[in-house]
Amino acid sequence: MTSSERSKRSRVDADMRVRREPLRSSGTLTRRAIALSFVALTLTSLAVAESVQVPFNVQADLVAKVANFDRNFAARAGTRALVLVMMMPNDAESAGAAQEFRSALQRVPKVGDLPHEEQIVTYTGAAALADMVRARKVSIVYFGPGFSKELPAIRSSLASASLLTVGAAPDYVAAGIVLGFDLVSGRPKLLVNLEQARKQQVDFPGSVLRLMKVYS
Amino acid sequence: MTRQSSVYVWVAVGLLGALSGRTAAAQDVSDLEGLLSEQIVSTASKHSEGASSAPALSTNLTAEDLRMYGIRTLAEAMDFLGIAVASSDNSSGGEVGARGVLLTGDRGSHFLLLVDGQVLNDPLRGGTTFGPGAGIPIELVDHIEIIVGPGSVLYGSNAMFGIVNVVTKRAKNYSGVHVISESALPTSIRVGAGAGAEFKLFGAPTEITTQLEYFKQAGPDLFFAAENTGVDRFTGQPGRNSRSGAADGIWGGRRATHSSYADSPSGILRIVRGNTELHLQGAYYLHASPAGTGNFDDRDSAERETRAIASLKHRIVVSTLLELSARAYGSYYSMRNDFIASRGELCPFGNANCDFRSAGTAHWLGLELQSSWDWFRDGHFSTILGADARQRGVSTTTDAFDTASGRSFYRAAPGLARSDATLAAYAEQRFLPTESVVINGGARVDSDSRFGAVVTPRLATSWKAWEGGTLKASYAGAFRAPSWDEANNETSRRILADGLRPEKVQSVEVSVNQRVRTHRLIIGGFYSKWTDLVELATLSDQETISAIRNGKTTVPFTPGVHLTQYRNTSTVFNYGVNTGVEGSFASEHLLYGFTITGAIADRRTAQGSSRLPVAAQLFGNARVAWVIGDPLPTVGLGAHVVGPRPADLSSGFSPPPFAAGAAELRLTLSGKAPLVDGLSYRLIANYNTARNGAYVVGPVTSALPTQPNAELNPIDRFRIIVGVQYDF
Repeated sequence: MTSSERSKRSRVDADMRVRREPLRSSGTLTRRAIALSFVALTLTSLAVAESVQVPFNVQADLVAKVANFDRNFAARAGTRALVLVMMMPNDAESAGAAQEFRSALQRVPKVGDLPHEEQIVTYTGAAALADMVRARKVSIVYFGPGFSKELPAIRSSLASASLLTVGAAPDYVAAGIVLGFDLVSGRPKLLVNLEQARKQQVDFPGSVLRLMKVYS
Repeated sequence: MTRQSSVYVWVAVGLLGALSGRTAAAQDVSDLEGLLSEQIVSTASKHSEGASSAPALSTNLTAEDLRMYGIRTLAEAMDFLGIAVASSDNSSGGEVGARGVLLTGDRGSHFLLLVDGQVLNDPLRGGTTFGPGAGIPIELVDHIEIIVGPGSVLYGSNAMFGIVNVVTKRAKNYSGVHVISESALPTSIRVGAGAGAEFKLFGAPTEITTQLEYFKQAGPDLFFAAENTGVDRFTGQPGRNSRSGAADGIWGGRRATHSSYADSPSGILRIVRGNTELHLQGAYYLHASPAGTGNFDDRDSAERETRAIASLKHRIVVSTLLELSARAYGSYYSMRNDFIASRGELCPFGNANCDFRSAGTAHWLGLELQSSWDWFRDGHFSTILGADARQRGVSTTTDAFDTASGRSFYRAAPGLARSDATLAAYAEQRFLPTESVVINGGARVDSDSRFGAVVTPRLATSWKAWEGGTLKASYAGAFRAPSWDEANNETSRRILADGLRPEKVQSVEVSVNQRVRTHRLIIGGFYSKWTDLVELATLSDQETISAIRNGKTTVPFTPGVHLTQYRNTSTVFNYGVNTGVEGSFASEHLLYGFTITGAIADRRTAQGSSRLPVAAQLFGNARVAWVIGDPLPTVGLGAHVVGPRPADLSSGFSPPPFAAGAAELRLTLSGKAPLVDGLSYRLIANYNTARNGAYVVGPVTSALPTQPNAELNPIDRFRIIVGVQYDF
């Protein structure tokens, strides 16, 4: 981890207030605590995040395996696959997901049959991301929770890039991320946005598409 | 593991490999298929993870499996799809057990039943039902997560056999409106309507799923063999076994046409907005069975149960280090049980008919706070700390009425009117020292004013030792706090328990999980010790007289009729192996599964050692489905097999009654109906090879000169079930 990443994470931690609620033991206090909690819970819904249902280590295994089947992956990556793991600033859940996914992917020997490198990048805008992708020969960009509102911009900015975009939340795929994950009947399911895949030169064979839920 | 078992594992793995041989390219895709077939579980550790590394034997039963194999209830799901779990038909909603232990009469209180994480076990008796009265619409089920083995470390009381967590579908997987009708011809019908929708509420993504349904059953009109209760020990004359029938001592001898029925409306509602989740659920369940010891085929011998649960949960991600969640919850339960008897030894008031009625209501309100600490922000070393505070209340009544006049025969037992608070705290540490090892340890302390603190620990580890293979080992404990009814209640014929202690179980287990492409094998062994099991003990004549003299009951002494009392009477030593294989061929067009469990359960009391009644030492299931594709139906064939087992509620019969080994076979055709968009169907044919179950029915539960043989509960052997669903 670089010192700038450490510093950013510290800021994210510092920005968030830890809420602690006392545990009451008597019946009366318990009832009061319950009543207060109902009020608090009803009023508290500020931090709304997209649901990530598939564990990060399973997502990492799937990304590594699926990349094998992208016919353009080797040409895009060269000798080493560079994976950017995006983090939304001031979003603790996004930061946590980014770190957990990066850690999981680091444990996978190869991505798309290539050695690989992961970097956590704080999101500053779709255009800046597109520039970074082109400049650094990025193979995969992974988006954790917190990116819902940015997806239209990301979709259009990355439309001409040769890039596999991956989203942690299932809703991302319909909104323009190429590959995503869902949990259906307690099992992981791959989702693919075929139109966006074509635009971003991601080309899966039919045998793999058959295993995916396709958005076109 | 024995040498023979090892050979068995490797032969099975080899066969799986040989059976799934394909070209090299296809193998790569099958590796991806294998990853996609990984079961994701979260109940065992409150952490989403692969089933093979979860700190317990965890399996998911999927919605597709429930549909393909004609599953209608949780009990059926466990029988036909589960590993190491099985139910037993007692003609009154069924009972469930695990790994060769089944505790008859427990009302399901040794499994913790959750729906989306909310406890369904009732606050009065800790019981629950896995039959149609559970009020869980099968169409709304996304998957059922079954954790076998002690699971109190994060959940507290009742998780002794394990935990069943029913996860309902998200709105996106149940969108639109759905109308369902299903009938077991001609004995029952279930109609329901459900819906799912996603929308924005005050700018936040929101989803709602709901289903209302109504289940009604009348029959089957099963034949009950005649039992001769002989001369009544109270009247000196043959007893009456019906309200207006002859005093000839005969019970049964004909079909029961009035007393096998059920009536159950239910509903469930789940709303999720962002990180906040509201869950509401309610069910009413009226059910009756002709199998009891009172009058034969009396419609009024029935039980009415009402359940309602509500919970509101909110999750806050504070930082990359800390996540908090709070869950406020409540549960309400009421019941009324009527038991009609006319025989003099049960109803010693001349030519009268007695209605022994017990009723109760109970509730709890609670708040659970949980914090999750990811110390190195990468999931390698994380801690869960939680606390659960609960306020409880209960009230019960019991009385015996004259059915004609409504007059009370006895001075009613005082009943219960109590409330108290319980506290619990738990901690779990999850540590991944290397990429292939997971260590999970934790403990929970439950404080109950009736018993003092109970500590339940767990230590588990999993190791991905080779490609696709995982070794697991665990030690875990669980407990069940005796219910209010057992510990603090009395009825006219049951005296108050004296210093009842919580039941406990400790278990160690090891297992091997092997994935070969789309095929999975699990084989494991376990050893468990159950202590202080609570049983309804029959008092001796001496104890009965003593109880009457000491004012513990107002019931007059009746020779040969004994009082009862809940006591910690037995210990069970339980050990065995369980194995299962499942997978698919031909791109998931052909699916199969097979499980078998062999287990010994040795029950020890002060009187000696015996085998647990009803619990089979060998049981399992097998299934195969052929997904042909539209417009042709999916064909599912399932079998549930159970070995011979001793009958319950019997004493003094020679030879002791045994239920024979049996197989239940189920053929299911399911698919989309031709010509009508949105219409789908299920056709199920169910056949049971057994004529009888494992429960002694009727009043003769010990050998009499007039009735030397026990009669076992008859089984509904063949049934056709037709179901349709229309999706708008």
